[in-house]
Amino acid sequence: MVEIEDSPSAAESDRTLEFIRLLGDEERRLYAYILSLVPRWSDADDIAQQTRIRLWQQFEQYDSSRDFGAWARTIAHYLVLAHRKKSEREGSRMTNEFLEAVAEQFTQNIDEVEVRQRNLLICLQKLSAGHRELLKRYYSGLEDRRDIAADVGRSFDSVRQTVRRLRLSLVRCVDGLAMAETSSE
Amino acid sequence: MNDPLPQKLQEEIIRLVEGSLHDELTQEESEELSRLVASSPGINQFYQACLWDATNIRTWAGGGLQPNEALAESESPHPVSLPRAAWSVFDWHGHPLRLAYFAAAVLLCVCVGYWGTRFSPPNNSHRDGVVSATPGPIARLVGVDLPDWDGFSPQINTGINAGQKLVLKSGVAELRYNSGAEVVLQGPVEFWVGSQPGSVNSGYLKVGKLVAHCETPESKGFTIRTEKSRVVDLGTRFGVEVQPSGELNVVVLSGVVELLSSESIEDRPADPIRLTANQAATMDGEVGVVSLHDPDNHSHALSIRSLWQSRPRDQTSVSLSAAELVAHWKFDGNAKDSVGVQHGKVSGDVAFSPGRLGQAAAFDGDGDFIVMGADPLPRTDFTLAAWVSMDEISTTEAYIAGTQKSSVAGAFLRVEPNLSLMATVLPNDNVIIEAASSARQCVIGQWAHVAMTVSRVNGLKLYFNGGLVGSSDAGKSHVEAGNFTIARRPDPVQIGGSNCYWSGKIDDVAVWDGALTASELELVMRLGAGRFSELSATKEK
Repeated sequence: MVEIEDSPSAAESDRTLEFIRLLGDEERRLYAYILSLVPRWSDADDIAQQTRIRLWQQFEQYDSSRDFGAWARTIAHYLVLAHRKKSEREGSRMTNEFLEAVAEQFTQNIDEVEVRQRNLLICLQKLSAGHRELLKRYYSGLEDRRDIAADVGRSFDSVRQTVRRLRLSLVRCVDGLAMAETSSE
Repeated sequence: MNDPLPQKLQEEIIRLVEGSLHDELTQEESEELSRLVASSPGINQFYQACLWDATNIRTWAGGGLQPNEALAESESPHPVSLPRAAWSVFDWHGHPLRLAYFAAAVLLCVCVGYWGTRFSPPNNSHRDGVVSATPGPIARLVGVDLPDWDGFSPQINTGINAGQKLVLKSGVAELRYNSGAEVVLQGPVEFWVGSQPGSVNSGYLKVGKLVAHCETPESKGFTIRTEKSRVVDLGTRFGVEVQPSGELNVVVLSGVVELLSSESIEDRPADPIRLTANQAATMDGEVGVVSLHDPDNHSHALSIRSLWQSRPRDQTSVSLSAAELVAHWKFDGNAKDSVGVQHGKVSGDVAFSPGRLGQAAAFDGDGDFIVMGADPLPRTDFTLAAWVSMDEISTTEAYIAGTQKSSVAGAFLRVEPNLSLMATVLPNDNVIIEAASSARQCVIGQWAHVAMTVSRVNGLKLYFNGGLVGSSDAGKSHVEAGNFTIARRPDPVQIGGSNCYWSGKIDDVAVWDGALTASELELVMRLGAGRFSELSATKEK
């Protein structure tokens, strides 16, 4: 009878699945963290991608008794700082005060990321169909936003202003639902 | 939880965040955003909320999140199961933040929970400076209709602590107590949620009108106190009104209530007057004499019935039907645009004198007009409105406001020589679409509210004093002429030797990006363009 032992490739596969699971659990919060520190889609996307790669590269060093999210955010923070150095050379400024304040506040409210997501889906359904469609097109990234404005027969500034109003209304709606949760407990 | 930021600040942060996300900020604006966020935890929190929402919207827009349609009608604040994004797995049932919210609510309670220690506090100062005996909200705001609050301004779903004073200058607000009791307040009203320490099923009405509805077993015994009385519910719907003179009116719409005078409460055993359905009572404000009467013949009873029937239930939706005010000339001493940058340049000897709302621009019909540097009218989906008053009949058309380039471009409002109102749009070269108020005419010396809306869906509509008086389905858009002018033909082309000047006053000229509905225009007429936009923003909360 031949005993079949776990092969190295099987263990590696388990480790890979573990990484995917942990990253999947944390991905939304991690991206929110990066975007809070670097509020620009293109930069945040780049840093998020670099962070995923770095996390995978260093996953062997990860102590599974520790909070994966905190570990991931630490690595992301270093990459944000590296990004800042590069940006400073290009004239952009992110002050230490800003980064520290945002990082601290994020840690305090980290669980709000999921709560906001759930409530946002409810609030989106309360928009008119037209506004929902506009928001979807504006945020999908599939069309040039100026083309969207031209398509709906409005100026770009006007569409941009409408989107800002929609965003403000959604923030308030999401906050309102959170307050309702609080008061119901 | 931090206090809400002022609306202007919220708008500015949204603008900066949106600009930053799309890499549209100047370096100075980026630094301003950075400085603001670092300056205050409240701003920081709002900033992060904006960004997280942006992330979620982008994911949703890309198809990564699918809202459960059933949620649209749900107000359930509890965790719900949602389809998972392919790349994201969450535990929807875990909400550690609830603890933080609870702590914040307790903190809020300590901060704002002032409480009166005596029955029927005679003034505001009596209620200040003492601490609430009941932690946490005992009611929440569930509906509003154009509320104008003084001081504490709750939003929909805001939890309201015992002892919280609510001053509603106008409009209607509906509260729902944890007990299930519902109270509809009609401004002007001064009301305290909870009427004595430990009471979570009562309110104190200093002045104004309310209707209470108590259907749940927990709400039985719901009590409304006033300076001289106590109205105790025994399972019913009733109205209470306290006049500034102190006169009290109680109307029972259904069920039974007990009415006790303050004398009976404090000096001798309670001697309640029992009122049943369709009974009403009035208590004299000075000596506390109670008289019963038939509510159907009593104006207070009628108004209380009306209040109940028109209560604003559960207006929690993000109402964005109101279009956005993009230009507004109040003419309060100048021709500045109060919401944008389309400031007017005055020509002739335009005066600013008392008008319909504050001051108005007064034109002598002989060379006076105001021209804007640019055109605030979108090509389609817009509203143009104004208050106008004519001093004399013109032999030619008298232009109110709009743009025009001969017969090839423009959109405008004017009054014809026969005093009928006319709205015109020019959607293509030499295509002129008009809507006229054939049945309604301006009256010399009288103010009239005039408005036109243009939309791709509904075409051109013309409104006179809030009513629809003309329309044309073909007027779906206009060619932009870029010469927005008030009180003169914009081109200007002379008709019969005249530039079609306006003789009289024009006030509160406003342009919205979006076509307002008839009911919205009626509100614009009642409230003024600025107030309407402010309140429609309030409703969105």
